[in-house]
Amino acid sequence: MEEQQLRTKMLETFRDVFGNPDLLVQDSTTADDVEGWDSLTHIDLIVALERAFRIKFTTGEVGKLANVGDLVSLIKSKTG
Amino acid sequence: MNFLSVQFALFLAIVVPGYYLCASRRRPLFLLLASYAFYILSSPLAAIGIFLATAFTFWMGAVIEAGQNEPAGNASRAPMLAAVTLLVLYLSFFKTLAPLARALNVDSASEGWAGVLARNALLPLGISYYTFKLISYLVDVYWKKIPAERSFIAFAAYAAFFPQIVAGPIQRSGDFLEQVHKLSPSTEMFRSGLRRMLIGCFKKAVVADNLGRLMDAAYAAPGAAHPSTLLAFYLFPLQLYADFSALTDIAVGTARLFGIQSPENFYEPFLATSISQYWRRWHMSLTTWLTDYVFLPLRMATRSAGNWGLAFSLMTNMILIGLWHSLSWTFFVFGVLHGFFLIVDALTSKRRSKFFKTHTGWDRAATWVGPVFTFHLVALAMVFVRAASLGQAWDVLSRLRLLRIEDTGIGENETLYALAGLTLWFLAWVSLKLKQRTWSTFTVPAWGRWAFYYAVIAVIVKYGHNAEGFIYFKF
Amino acid sequence: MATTQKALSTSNSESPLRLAARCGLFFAPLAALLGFAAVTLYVAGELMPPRDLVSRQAVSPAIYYPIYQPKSPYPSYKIEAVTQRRPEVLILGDSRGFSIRSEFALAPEKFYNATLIGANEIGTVRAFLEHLPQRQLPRQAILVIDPWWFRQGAKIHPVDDYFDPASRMEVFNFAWRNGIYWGLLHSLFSQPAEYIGVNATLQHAGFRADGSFRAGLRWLALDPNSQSLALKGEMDKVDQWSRSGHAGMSADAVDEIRRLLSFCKTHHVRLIAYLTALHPTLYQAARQDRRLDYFWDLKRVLNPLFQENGARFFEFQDPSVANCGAPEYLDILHESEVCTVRVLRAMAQRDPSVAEIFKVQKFEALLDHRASDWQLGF
Repeated sequence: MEEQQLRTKMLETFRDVFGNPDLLVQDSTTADDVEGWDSLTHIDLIVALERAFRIKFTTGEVGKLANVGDLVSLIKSKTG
Repeated sequence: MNFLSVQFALFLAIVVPGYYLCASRRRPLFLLLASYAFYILSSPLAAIGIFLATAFTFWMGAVIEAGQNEPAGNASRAPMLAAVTLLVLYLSFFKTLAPLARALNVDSASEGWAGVLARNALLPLGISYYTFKLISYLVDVYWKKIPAERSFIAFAAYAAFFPQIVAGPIQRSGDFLEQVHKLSPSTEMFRSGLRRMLIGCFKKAVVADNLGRLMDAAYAAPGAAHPSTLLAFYLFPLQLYADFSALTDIAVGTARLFGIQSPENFYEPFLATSISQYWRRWHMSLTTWLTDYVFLPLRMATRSAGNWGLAFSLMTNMILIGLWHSLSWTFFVFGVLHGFFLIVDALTSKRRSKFFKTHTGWDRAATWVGPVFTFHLVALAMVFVRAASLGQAWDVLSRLRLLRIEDTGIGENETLYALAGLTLWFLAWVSLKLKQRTWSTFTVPAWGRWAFYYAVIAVIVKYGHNAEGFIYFKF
Repeated sequence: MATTQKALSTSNSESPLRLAARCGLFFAPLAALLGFAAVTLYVAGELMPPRDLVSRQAVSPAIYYPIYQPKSPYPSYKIEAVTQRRPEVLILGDSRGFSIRSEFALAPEKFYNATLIGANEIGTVRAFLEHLPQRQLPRQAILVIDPWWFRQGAKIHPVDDYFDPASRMEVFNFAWRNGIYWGLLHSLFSQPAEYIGVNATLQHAGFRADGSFRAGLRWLALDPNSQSLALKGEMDKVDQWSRSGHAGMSADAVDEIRRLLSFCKTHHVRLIAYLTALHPTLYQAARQDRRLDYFWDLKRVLNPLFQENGARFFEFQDPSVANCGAPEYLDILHESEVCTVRVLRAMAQRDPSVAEIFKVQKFEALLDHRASDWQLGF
């Protein structure tokens, strides 16, 4: 999957999970920067991303994510 | 060793200069030795436990990392699970001694092994804290968040670090180890550490311990012609906050004297607008630990089970928080209550935020109703923290009345000092917050600062709570 | 999201040496204050460990009465005294028996009064004996019983560390705020060295080398008005059953007496126990309070137990039996040495073998030559 496609799909998922159609994120964005993104909704996001990209994350991978950039790299590595 | 004691002051008076007098590459070793000295002075026998647990974890960390370098399969998972399980069993063993003694109805005067059990059913110092540190290290190495630590001295200093051994905060290994490998204490950090310790002493001696008298009276004889359980209901969260944040202040401040930054434990918890926000502001080092090592894995494992998975993860997480404090029914109920609150909160949060987006009037009201309501939930669950048994908790809760004002114990000296201290603390906080400033941005001449510090110390000495002791003035 | 904990950037705004100097300057007055408090407490004798205390009292007539103690120092002090003195006659119980002096005994140097202030648990008695080296158990023990030990719901055993002394550091940590007391300082340097402890210095009262208690200045003014307040205080204290909700005698306490008797029998300790005379006002008030009916039932319950075990029991709670009057009491609860002599005399009248322990023939002379209602002549 091309990177741009990936990012668009990811952004759609973000907007859907956090109920904010105007949400914008960058690589450096963290959970603190997005309203409603906490440890509870984090898993909702992960589940939504897994469904959207048809991939599976492990707990370790999820625990290591520090920002959106990491997430992008992780999804990229799983979608080939 | 009590933080507020002459012994601790003497200990620091020796250890702090010693730290700065030794060569900077020897400082991690010095921290390690000082921490073990502190531990042995407090409980010599238990020092063996922490040393063995630390050595075991250090070794297993290396084993896990070696397993990751194996080309075939995941050879690090089994050692990680085994080591973590052993550490959990180690902690559980000591935590069950006291409840076991209670359940078997033995006390220290009992004959034979039962008496031995009862007399020794004490938790080794800091075991809940250092075991959690060790477990987090192993899991972080397994998840490749951090590499296995090469220096045993640095690692052992992490586990036993004396400012954090008494009451936390539970620092992550990566954070501490990074700092200990390039210790660079500054004079500004040193001074802010001292100030932090002073604030902690004030909160503990003047506010928390003085409030304790009122609580003792209210809980000892709930509703029976004595102090208002209603007052105790509202003041206990404040006492606990004063007490615990004070211990955190002293821990953080002491660590700063050595150039180590510790994580914070509290961030204006009673301003939380929802119970989930409260838990992101109260005892943060513990809740983030549980989130990262219990809640997240559980939630990931149950993510296909939808809301049931969420409810299960939340309830398990909160019950564990309760039981981490003490293996007793009261703390179990505490955990269950919070689990229930959080589940309701999580399940309704989407609907709530949609509602508040469209009803801005309600939204504005919610900014103060939220904290008030959350405070009540917290106060309710806290009755189970303070009560010695479920029966006593029920006694208190079923007798929440004000009675006459004279009966509330509010006229007692200790309560007045505590309330005065609380007011001063609150005013200080408000004034700093309004001006968006921190302590160090005030430009006051040195003599002014010193006068202020001496004044605070004088207040602590004069109005701080002193234990009753044996003062038999009968004759 | 992985939780991150950021490290703050450090910036040096002041030289470390200068900071060290300023810290030294800042803490110097506090250290001096602590040092001053330490010296004051040390000179006053508050920091003396049990062994030194007992040795000191063995060589010169000093009395011991500390004030600023985090826990009761008397258990460890008296255990040490018994260990060093090796008495054959031992007095046990609560402070109500502390006026029994060695001069009353036939062999004063083989006598020790091990009564403990504030020994509110009946189990303290046996625990004290069990804490002694087995070879140093007395031949004869005399126990002054407190009736309220038998109240329903009363605690039986003392705390675990009851017999452990507080360390000097613990005492200092507890007491240093009170060590900064100018009046104390004046007294310390103007009083002779025969007083160990702040209370001893201020009140001229304290424990003698034989373990008996010398009541000092304090008793010279027994204000009649304070009596009623004190009475109320004592009545509230001696019986708290309104909280526990039960009437009657504690079976657990009676069991503990059985265990004590069994211990004494096994270790060949001859035991005499007695309920001493109550202050007349206290006696009247107690008789009228139905909740305290178990006081008068104790003889019926305990006497047979003592007989079975070859021990002896006496009941003197009615003050008219021993002929004790109100002026002969230190306060509403504690009898003076004068009253104690009367009670012992009454005991001797009932049981001639008491003359094997005490100088009963001398009792009359002691009473005749007393210095006041409540003080003997020596």
